[in-house]
Amino acid sequence: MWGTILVVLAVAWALFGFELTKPTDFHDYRITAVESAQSAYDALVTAKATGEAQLAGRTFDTYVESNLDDANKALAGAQKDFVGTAPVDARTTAMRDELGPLLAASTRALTNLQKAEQTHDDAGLRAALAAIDPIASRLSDFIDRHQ
Amino acid sequence: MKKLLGITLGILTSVGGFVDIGDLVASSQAGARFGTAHAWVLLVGVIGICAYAEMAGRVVAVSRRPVFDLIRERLGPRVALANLAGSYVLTVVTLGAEMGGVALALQLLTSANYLVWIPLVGLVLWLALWRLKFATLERVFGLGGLALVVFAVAVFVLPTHWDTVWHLASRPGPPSGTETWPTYWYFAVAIFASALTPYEVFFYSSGGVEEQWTPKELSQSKINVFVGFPLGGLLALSLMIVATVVFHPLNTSVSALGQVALPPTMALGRIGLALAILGFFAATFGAAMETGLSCAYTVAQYFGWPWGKVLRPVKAARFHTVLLVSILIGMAILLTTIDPIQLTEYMLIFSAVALPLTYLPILVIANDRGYMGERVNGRFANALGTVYLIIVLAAAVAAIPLMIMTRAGA
Repeated sequence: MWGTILVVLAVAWALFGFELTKPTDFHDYRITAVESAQSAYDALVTAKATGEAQLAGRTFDTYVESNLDDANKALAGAQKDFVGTAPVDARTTAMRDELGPLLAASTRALTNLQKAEQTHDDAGLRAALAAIDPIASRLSDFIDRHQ
Repeated sequence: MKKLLGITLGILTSVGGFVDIGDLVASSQAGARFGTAHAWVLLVGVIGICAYAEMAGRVVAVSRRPVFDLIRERLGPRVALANLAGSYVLTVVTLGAEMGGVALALQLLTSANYLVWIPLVGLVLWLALWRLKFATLERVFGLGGLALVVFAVAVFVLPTHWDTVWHLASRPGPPSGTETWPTYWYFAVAIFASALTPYEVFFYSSGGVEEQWTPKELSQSKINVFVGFPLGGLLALSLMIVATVVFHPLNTSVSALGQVALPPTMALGRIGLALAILGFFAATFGAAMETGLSCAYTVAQYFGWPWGKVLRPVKAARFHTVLLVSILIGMAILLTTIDPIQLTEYMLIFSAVALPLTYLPILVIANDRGYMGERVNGRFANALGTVYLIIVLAAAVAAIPLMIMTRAGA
């Protein structure tokens, strides 16, 4: 019985090692790009809903700060994953050229939202919220095309 | 009148105590991504936990011994040791996830990073389990968890389209184009495991011994199980419905506890948010106490040590040592900076793998006339128990392959 368990563990370990070390192909890159775009989209949508609740006076500052902080972390994680995977061909290079600027724009939008929230600048908050919609829409379009 | 009050309190405690970090995460995530297409899984899970909790309660009331104690005696020390190892590892990881939930609730309240709160949560948890009486702990946090009723209220305040909710619930499966069947089943397994988390049975049966149940308490136990747990299941369904209303149309997913609190905030403003955070705190702190105690119960019962909150700590020193070590392990897991929500997701999937270890022995013991006398399972309980054992086995076999295939539901 122990022999069987050892063989199963060895095979599982070998498969795991292969999965970790195999070179990235188009499919892997596409999955990473879509997951990064989805994380960025989720972060923007959450930040927008939180910001709107804040403007309507329906929430607490601590909750807003915490939610925006979480959104920022999720976005930073998505960007790290995306940047950490190199494109492998012309198609994936085109995906990188499209998504890279969108992720950068998402980061700027979230940073502006956070600044406006910290300074209790309602006009700035409205402007930052308005800037989120077009970026979220383009991210959603990217996800739909590459999913 | 006093008896009626006792029954009401028992039911309310069961309702509030039903939801934990696993339900908060799994129901909200499923609602955001699949709408109410997993509502049937909640129903299946609630029936399962009712069937097995009733059996565990009956075993305790008749034998006056906890289930884990009987498992070792009935199945032998080697099988019971495998059971103990699996259950302990899983329960201690669940303890970490629950403590993470408490810390996240405090983060929402203060905006200070959850990692700052973990040592304090560990300390307060240990002090509460050291100093407070069992009934006090159970009632304070069970009743506090009732603040989650705010999600049920939000269902009616938000612009819920009941025809959409029903449409999704009555046609189980992934929404066309955006999700796949393996991901759908991955979430189904997670929701099922969140309803039948193994520690619930260990805690329930050991709690019965702590409260010195006899066959006279069987009716009270049955009412708590058959009324309290389904009402708790309705709270989990409310979490799923509000996520369906708020997140599903936006094609967004839920990956933070703060997001789970958005629907009651949108529906009821600051009061809704405050109640949601209070509910998160009470539900996860209550579950952290239950999982911490369950860790100590299982180890102490296996080795035959004196155990329980009824004994003074000096009389159950090894029990309290295991409790303290388990809390420290839970803290250490969180201090690796693993995201508590991700920890919960993994915990649910590995819970599914270990479910047969918990539920098969209960079915075996509930059929043993040596322990149960005339109160062995009837035909209906056995039929239900067997059907659920098959479901539990299927979930256990499918859990890891689904996790790999779907990259943990990504």
